[in-house]
Parts: sequence; C-alpha cells; structure tokens
Amino acid sequence: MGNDLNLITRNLYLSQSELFSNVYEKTNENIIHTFNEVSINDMDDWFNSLLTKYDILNKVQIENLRVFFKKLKYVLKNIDPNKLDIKNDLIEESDLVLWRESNNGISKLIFDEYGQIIYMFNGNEGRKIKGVFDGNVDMEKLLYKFISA
Amino acid sequence: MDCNLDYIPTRLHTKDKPVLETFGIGEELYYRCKENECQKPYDQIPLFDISHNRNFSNKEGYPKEDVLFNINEADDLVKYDSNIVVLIITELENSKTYFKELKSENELGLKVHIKLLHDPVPCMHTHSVFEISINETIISKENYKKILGKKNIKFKNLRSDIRQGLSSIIQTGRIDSSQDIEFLDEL
Repeated sequence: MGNDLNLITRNLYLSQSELFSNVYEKTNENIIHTFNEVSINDMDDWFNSLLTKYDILNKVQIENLRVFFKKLKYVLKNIDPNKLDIKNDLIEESDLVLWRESNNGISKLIFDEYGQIIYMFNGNEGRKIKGVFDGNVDMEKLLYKFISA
Repeated sequence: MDCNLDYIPTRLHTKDKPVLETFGIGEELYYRCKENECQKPYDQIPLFDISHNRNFSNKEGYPKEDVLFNINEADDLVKYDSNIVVLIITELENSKTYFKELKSENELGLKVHIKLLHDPVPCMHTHSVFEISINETIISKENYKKILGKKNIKFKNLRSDIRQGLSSIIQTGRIDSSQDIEFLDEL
C-alpha cells in the first residue's frame, strides 16, 4: 500500500506540476496552507467541520468520508494543498459533494445516502465520466482520479 | 392561444404560430437561472420543468433578454432579475432535436429519455423544454417526488445520470447529442 501511495503521490505531483506549470511553486513545509477557510495543518478540523456543517450525513457516509480523509491526509503532506482547492456542497439535502475544478473541467466525489461513492468528471469540452462504487473501493486510486482530473 | 400580459411584446405572442419541431445546429437557447442553479458545480438544477427560450437562429429577432419576462399571469412581476445562460446547439446527429436515452444498470427495462421540445405558451412562442420521461411517463413538478424523487431508490443512479447530463450542458454551454457518459467499471 505504501508503495502504491508513493506512486500515486509522485504521479500526482508530476501531473499537478504540468497542470499548474505557470504558477507552480515547490511546497514549503514551513508555510501554513489554507484549505478554503480551514488550515490544512489540521485535517481533522476540516473533517469535523464538514460533519458539523452537514449534520444530516448518515453513518455510512461518515465512514466513507473518514476513509477518504485518511488517504487525503497522506497525499496532502506531499503536494501543495492550495492547488487542490476542494470545495463542498450538498445535493438533494442528503448527498455530500466534494468537488474541484481544474483547467480540464470539474471533478466530483459524491458520498450519497445509500453508501455509494460516485466519481464524476464533467470536462469543459463535454466529456462526461462516471463511476459508482461502494465503501470497498480502492480509495487511493479514487483519490488520485479525483485530484488529477 | 391569447396572451393577456400587456408587457409582453406582440412578436412573442404565440397566437396562431406553429410548433416548430426542428432545431438547428448553431441555434441558441436561453436559460433563466434560479437561485444557485448556475453556480458551479451546477448540481442544483431541477430535473423537471427545465424551460428555455429558443431563438430560431435569429438573435436580433429573439434576444436572450426575452427569457427574463414573467409569463405567469398569477405573478405580478414583469421581469426577473436573473442571470441568463446561453446554450448553443452543436450536434444533433441528423435528428431534428436533442435526444438522449439513459438506461439503468441496476433495473433492466428502465429507460430515461431527455428530449428538447418546442413548447409554445400563449405569451412566449419561443418557450421550449428539456422533457424528461421514464418509460414514457413525463416527469413534472407534480409527479417528480413520486416517480423520480430520491425516495424511489431504484432511480438513484439514473437520477444522477440525468443531473450529470444537464449540468454538463450548463457547464459547457453546448448541446451535443453525440456526447455520452463514459462509465468506469473499475479504477
């Protein structure tokens, strides 16, 4: 698993460097980054703030989100979190959406009330990709897909 | 079909004008955004009553601002103070209008159709809709909760397919019949 994560992170680093080649600067670990309004240095705070903001999430959604954050914590130690700029939203008053925009389009991860984790990508040129998974999905790969689209 | 709203220009009145079933490549449609609907990531768009104005490929004759007119006689408002999304038809695959069929992976036999229709109303001849139907039942504001609402668990993924298609149209500003969703079976 460690090797997989290292590979994913390295690929992400390269992908991100390519994507943001004009603005990319090497991460300085002494700088406190912000993740929207929340310091990235404390991912638990951000996780908890989502649970507070969306207090309608059920147990399965929370567990899936917890697994996602576990992987995200690892990756964010190795890349510049400001480039990720992950936002959150709610669909139909029940499904949590984490989404981000790149030069290519908008990628989303939806943690729905049925325990599904849905990956979506809507490209700026019209390409549409969708994958529906359960809690047993390889979250590392899913995370990589989400943040490298 | 008489229009009783005196602030609606007569050029927009339907009267005896025909329904024009054929849309054209390059024709524009105008969508009046309700609150939050046109904000990224465009997930708040409703899955029923998705009204647009078409322009018959005539921007001067049918400017986009026409879509701001209130055409509900029960409402005192003349014009909405809303943003307008401009969509352009780029591909119809030799059909006369945009048409998409979505099939359920979990429930065999379930099919969703999304079709763009010219749907004139007395005070707005350009009025058009993206009609959504499930196995021939047209989804409306009245039956949405019963048929396609989230409590109907068998439609959970079809609903997100529809939403993805519509949000892509708003995001790209293009109506393209050739674009399908690519499904990931594994990562």
